[in-house]
Amino acid sequence: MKKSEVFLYIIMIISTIVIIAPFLWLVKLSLSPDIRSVFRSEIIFDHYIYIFSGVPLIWIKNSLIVAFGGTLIVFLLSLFGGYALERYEFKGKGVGGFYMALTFIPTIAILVPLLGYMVMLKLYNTLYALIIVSAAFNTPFSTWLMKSVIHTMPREIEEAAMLDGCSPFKVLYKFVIPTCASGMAFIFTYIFIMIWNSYAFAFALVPDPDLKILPMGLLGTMEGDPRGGIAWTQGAAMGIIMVLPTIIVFSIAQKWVGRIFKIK
Amino acid sequence: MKQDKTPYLFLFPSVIFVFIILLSPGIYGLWQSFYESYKAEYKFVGIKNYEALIKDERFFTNIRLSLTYLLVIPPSIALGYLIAILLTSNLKGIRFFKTIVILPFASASIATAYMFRSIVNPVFGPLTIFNDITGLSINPFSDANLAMIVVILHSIWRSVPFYALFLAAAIESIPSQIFEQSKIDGAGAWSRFKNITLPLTLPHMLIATLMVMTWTLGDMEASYSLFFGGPGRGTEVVAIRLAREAFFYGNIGLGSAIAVFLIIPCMIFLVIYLRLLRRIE
Repeated sequence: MKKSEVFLYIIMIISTIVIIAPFLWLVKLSLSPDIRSVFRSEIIFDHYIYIFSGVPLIWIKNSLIVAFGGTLIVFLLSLFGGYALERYEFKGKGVGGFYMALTFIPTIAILVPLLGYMVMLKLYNTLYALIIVSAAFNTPFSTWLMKSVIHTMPREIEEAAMLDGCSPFKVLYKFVIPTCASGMAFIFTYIFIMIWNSYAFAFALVPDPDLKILPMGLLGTMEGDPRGGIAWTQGAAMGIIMVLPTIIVFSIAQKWVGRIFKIK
Repeated sequence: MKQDKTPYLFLFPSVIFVFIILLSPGIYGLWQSFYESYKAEYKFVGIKNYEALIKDERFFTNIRLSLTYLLVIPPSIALGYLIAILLTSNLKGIRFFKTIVILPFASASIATAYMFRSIVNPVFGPLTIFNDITGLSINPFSDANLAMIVVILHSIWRSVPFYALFLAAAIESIPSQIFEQSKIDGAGAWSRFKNITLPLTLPHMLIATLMVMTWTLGDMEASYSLFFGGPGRGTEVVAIRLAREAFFYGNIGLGSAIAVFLIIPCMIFLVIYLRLLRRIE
């Protein structure tokens, strides 16, 4: 082995430990009866049973409603938008580049006026507000991802179908969606994770304790018990449920990861 | 390829939606920042909100902490390049590494904050053991500077994978002949990095940095769930202050004025971003 390879291996081993250790720590914390037993081998599943049989189940349900609802809107908007940007030449196409620029809006800053909007629309303190706002924030990047996934598909089939008199809608669901199915499945799950992960929108727009999403519930659990006790370990179990979708999706969809990080 | 109404029809819904929810609030927010709100009623107060902020020492601390938070960036760039080079190698085990490397970046920030929060808590956990062994009494929950260091370390842990994956994509787009030619010419690994990789990926690195700067200045989710802005107000960055004023106390006018302080630097980042993008194309 060359010297540079040894060096890279060392980097890889250290990074792997630094990346994984906090996750493993959280797993162990979530399986410990309480904080005194974190360093013992004792393992229990009580906290997960508590989560799936108590109030936190409502939080999970709310989180799922928001994430699915939001993802559905984002997916449809970006499917049509991304297809138009990728396959058509038209005046005003510059809107595509402009979409990426929206990444530079700091979420939290826009939430103040959005609060006023939601009050006016009578959506303040409802899950609809969360669905709409999460959808809007994820649409630009998703549109761009969709464009890049459709780009990998040869356009000859579509052109032939168009010549045969297929409508654009039909081309989209008969040819584009089936051909890009795996890429689109990735986009769907990626958006789902993005919405599932965030809580700033809920923090700003939904103070109702009955409408808490899971991260808001976790936040409450953290505030409740800074000194110790059972809340630490229960919170850890909620934390594990928070990261689970991310771990599942990225261990399956590894080949799509690179696409998120390409500018062109 | 085709010339008809279809693209407009397809793009129209998303453009309208994004305009209403993402762009128009910017203008409305600016308007709000000149008002004071009592429940649902607004009263015009001119620049009073801005005056209040400029006179407010707490707000200066908020700004100082937000700027300190940006210290995340230099170490993240350095480590990001290191891991990007690792990612573009074909070592054994790199496939597994590629799967896990994205996790810190893509996981819910509240969950990763919880990991760090529980690791450094003074009651149980690794830090207590460290304190027992060394006889020190390090406690970020009572020392604001230490808390800020934990906030920054947590953010570095999340940002390095982003830089690494972003830069790895950039490095892969460099034609491999360039690297091979320089190997033939006898260039070492360091000189290859300095003379080829770094200059050719510089625009990408700057774009990633602009994005991380925007996220860091606007970050409330991670910093808030680590220490709730505490101890005292030791980690209360501008974004946390904004959230508190606007969403806890209902000071919409003041919150909007703080938001303007966040939006202005990000708009500057945007302009630089657009220039860099043109350079890459």
